[in-house]
Amino acid sequence: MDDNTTGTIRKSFWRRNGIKLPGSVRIVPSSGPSVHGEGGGIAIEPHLDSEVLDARYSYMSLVIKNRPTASLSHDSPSTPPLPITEPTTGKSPALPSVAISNSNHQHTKSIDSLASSSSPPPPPSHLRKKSTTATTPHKKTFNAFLEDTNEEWNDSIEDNGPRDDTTDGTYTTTTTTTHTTSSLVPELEEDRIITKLTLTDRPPSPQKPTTTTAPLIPSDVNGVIGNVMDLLKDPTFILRQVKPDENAQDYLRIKKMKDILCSPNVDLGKQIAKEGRQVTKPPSFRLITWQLLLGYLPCNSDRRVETLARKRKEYLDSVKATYARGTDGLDQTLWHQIHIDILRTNPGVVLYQSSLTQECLERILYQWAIRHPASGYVQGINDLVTPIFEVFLSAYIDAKPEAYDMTKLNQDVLDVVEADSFWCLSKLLDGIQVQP
Amino acid sequence: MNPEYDYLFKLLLIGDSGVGKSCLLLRFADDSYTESYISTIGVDFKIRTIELDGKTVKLQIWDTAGQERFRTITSSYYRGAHGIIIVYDVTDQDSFNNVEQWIREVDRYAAEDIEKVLIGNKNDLVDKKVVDINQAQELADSYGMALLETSAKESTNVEQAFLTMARQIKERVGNAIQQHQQQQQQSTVRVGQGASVQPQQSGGCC
Repeated sequence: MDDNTTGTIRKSFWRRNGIKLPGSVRIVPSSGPSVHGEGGGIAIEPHLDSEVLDARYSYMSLVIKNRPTASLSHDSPSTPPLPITEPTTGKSPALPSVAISNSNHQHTKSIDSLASSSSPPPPPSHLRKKSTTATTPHKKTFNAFLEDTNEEWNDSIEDNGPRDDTTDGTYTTTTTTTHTTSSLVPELEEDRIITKLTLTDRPPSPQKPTTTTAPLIPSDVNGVIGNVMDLLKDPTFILRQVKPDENAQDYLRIKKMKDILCSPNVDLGKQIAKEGRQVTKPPSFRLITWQLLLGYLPCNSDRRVETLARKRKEYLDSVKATYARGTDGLDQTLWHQIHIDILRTNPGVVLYQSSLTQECLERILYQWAIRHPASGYVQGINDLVTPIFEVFLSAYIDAKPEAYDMTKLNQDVLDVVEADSFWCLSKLLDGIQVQP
Repeated sequence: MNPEYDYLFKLLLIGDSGVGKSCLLLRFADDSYTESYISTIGVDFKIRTIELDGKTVKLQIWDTAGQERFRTITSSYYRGAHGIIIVYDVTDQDSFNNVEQWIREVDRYAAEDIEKVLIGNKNDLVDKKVVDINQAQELADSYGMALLETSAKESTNVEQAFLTMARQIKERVGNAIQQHQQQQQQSTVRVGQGASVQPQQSGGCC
């Protein structure tokens, strides 16, 4: 989209590339049988070479790298909580070891074997299933795979790169995202904004797996829901925490919606719009549905964390550059128009009377206006962004958004809500603009 | 012939964005006020019927969006109007400086010799007032307009502003009708009162 950002991506792509070189220490266990630890990796190495020949990435190598990512993004609930301290030694008796042992030595079979192997072990039944579905897309044809990843080709490659060390048979390590993110941080600059927060805000011990099993997400004193940092990285994180009450009237509906949204490759058919209209709780459902339907949140679950982090960074950097000299550096006519409209947007609603909200919406509209010079800001766009803003905000707080005191909101959450709102407003308006 | 009123005048409110056009209209038509009224998109209108010198006058007041972006839409409403109210914000010098630009718009799109009134709104914000009334009066005089400083919030002069406008139109129209009637009587055709007065053929949408 923006030359600037693609430039950065390309740069970091090459910079990071070294990490994934086939001969590197990290990659070895990734292809090797984790049961034997790193030593086993060496044994498998020729195998890999023989398949890949000289190409850096073969289809299979991509698939294999992708697989753990899928399980990664669906990790926590699908696997039992495990401390990071035992990545290779402390094999959980249940699924990880089985999956590994089956997928080990034969790359060609690894996908199928994983899919099938995940059923025999006796893990937490319904959760287990999800991890199976998470891996299924990779059974697709190469063309389908290309289609899915086409748009973000570079991203998905580099996205998976640093995770190679978790790919390696040690399935157990992937269960703790804490571990994964910590390894990601120094390498993924695009993720910096988000992941850094994730790290600082998360308790040092691998709490996440346990909290995900908790039926309710406790909210903090500020009304921000628990696990918000995980949710910020990938809103679909919440899906794994949603356990529809079987006795509830709309149990089937919620379950159906959840199944649609949980799919590793969400189908944007009629179903999602139809069901999405009916299911309003939890608010995250709406956020995810809107972001999917607007084409902002990637349908492919593998690409979400990276894409969101990159888009948010692009927006926030752009705002930073625009506001380098404060509001004085802005186009005064344009800014004045937006400013006076924001002041009178949803008068009487506490949320929109907060200066934090108002400044946030001003930045969104100003960014949109300068990026769409042919149209520019048009009065009324301010009323189009507010529903988006409110729905996104509501997903991260455990309170009525319209009465929410924005000063309580964590800056990181606000940044994410703001950036996501901007992109979704752009998507929305791009769809309705009249062609000249 | 509609028996509900003797005259139907179409008025148009124009002026920079945020000067309080909608609030003036809200105050005049509904006698209410809200601190932060939503921005007008395109055009809007309200109706109020008043008594003027024994005649029932129905005022159809068109409120326009101030943003430049809507100029193409709003300019098409100039033609059907009988009177145009140009509004500026006494606390916003730019909005006053743009008045001449608005007058040029009127000259370009509206009927010739259309009745105009200049209104300086938000006059309750005494501390923030920056547009001097003498300066404004000078401008109004140079274009032959009446000037009123109003406050939609405190409901000062709002009624007078619209009544001034209506009276000006009525006088002009009354004269025109009288002349018209005299002509008609000479040709022994009677024209009943109450016809909507249209100085020029309007291509309006209503």
